[in-house]
Amino acid sequence: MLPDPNLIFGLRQVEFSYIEERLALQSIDLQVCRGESVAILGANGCGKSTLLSIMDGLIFPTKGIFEAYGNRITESKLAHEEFARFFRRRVAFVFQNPDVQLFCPTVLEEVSFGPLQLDLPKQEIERRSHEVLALLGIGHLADRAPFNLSGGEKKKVAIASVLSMNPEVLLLDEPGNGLDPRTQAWLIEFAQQLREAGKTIVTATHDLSIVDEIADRIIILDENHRLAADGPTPEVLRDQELLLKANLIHEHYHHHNGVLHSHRHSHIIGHRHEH
Amino acid sequence: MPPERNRLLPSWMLAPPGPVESQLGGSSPSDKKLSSFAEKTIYSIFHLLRDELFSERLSRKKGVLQRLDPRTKLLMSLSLLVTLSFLHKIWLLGLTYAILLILALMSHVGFWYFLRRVWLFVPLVTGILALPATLNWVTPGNPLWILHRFRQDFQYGHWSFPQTLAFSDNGLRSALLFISRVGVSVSIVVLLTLTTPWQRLLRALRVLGVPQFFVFVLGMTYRYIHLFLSLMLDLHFGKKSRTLRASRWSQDQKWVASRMGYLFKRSHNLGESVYSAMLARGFQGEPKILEELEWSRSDLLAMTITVSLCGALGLLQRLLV
Repeated sequence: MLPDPNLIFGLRQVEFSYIEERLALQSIDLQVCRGESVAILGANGCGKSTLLSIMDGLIFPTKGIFEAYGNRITESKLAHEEFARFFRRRVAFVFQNPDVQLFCPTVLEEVSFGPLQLDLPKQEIERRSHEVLALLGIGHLADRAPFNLSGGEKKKVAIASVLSMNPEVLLLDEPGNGLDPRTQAWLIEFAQQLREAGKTIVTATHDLSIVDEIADRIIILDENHRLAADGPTPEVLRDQELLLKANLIHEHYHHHNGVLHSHRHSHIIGHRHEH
Repeated sequence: MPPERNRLLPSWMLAPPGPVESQLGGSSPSDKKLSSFAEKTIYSIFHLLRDELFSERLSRKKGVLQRLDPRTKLLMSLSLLVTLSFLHKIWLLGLTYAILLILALMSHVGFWYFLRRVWLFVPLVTGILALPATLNWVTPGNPLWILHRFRQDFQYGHWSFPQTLAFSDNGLRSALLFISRVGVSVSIVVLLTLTTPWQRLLRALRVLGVPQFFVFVLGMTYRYIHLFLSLMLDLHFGKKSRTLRASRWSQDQKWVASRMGYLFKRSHNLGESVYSAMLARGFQGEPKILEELEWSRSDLLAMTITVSLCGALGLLQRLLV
């Protein structure tokens, strides 16, 4: 049977552990199709970043199968230049900590790093790099050293550095972390533009306030590192029991008219709860 | 048709990706293997430290050595190390090593694992150090294997060299003794660190009078290795995720150098912050653990056996001259 041409990632019974006896992921069954916007939700340490690293072929399942574009991804598969080239130009990863991603002397070189490896003509590389910098509003930083920038600027450079390769899939690890409200709002709007442009976006986050704006499907990892839910965003966000169990919302105690009471509390679109 | 706001995105970003070929990799003759020296080194360091230093896999098991107080194990190790430095008979070193192997097995440390941890690198490192001493020019003796024969003896300053350059029997014996002594000594330390959690070991060092400064530096080093190990791997992943083709040796070197600089800068900045954070939580330089160290009967027994063993080894050395 031919593989589904729309299927980008397929994970079957994937398990991963950094240290033998401590599982970071277990029994993960998951598929991501072309053009989808998926949010991976879960509390700290549930395995979101590990799952993204597997999807980017940086680490490999200790058990189970991970496939991308119909190919089983293993260390030896990605050790072949031909396949690595095919895979890396399509799948890009924006790390939680932009510092680990930026290693060139200037912002412009950082953004050109990817296109240079694609062997594009020099003029095209320059055009792409400047266009991406302008798109993200950081054209004025082109000659600056990345390590001297602010957190928000670094994040934008990190995004620019992968966008210049025009990837089909963007893996974003906690994209809103450490950003000021304005940069965070910009990021949400930008993610929406990319989504509308047909990019496949997988975002790992524990921030419920941005989820319904950036994803049409939610995957929840529970604190046992298993898949707890996989469904359309509104449906999953309505399931308060599930969110509470996954440690994404909490019981909130406070006074109203002198009476102490509790209810579930989340930050889905601002600070919202019902009385 | 893309929506209006996507007019903001450049046209090349809206272009669809190329076709997906069903099977790639390893099929074309021009296909190269992607593997860099930086990647191999980082993975090796990462796996070694993660598995051996931080997992505390063996130190949490319930074996003979794990039951002992860390101070006892430290004193036992020191006594054995001092005794070893006086031994000149290889078979006595062999006897000590056999006892260590039995102890390792009784402490759930695998036989081959324990052997590999020491004997894979000790002969290599100490062998290089001991190599000059095996030659008759450094250690006079009967030549066993002649490497080169010169026309005549010659002199350089105060040193005179015989006509033949060879491995001498005395030289090889000294080298073997040196390698064995280092190997057995390293085995003692390996056994100690494998069977003792790091925090308890630091506490024992402090209790036994090692200056606070050294213990503090050791403790900080341990914390830092852990932190920088993760960071180092992330740095590598940061590059790997954007690498499309095998990089040149020089590019790898440049990247490694720039990352070393970054790590240095980061460690410098972080050092101050971590120390301030520790001070803010009441740290005064003394490593403390929840579990109090307690001597037990088995500690007394172990210490008695060790002292007797050291005495017996010394006596055998003297009697069998």
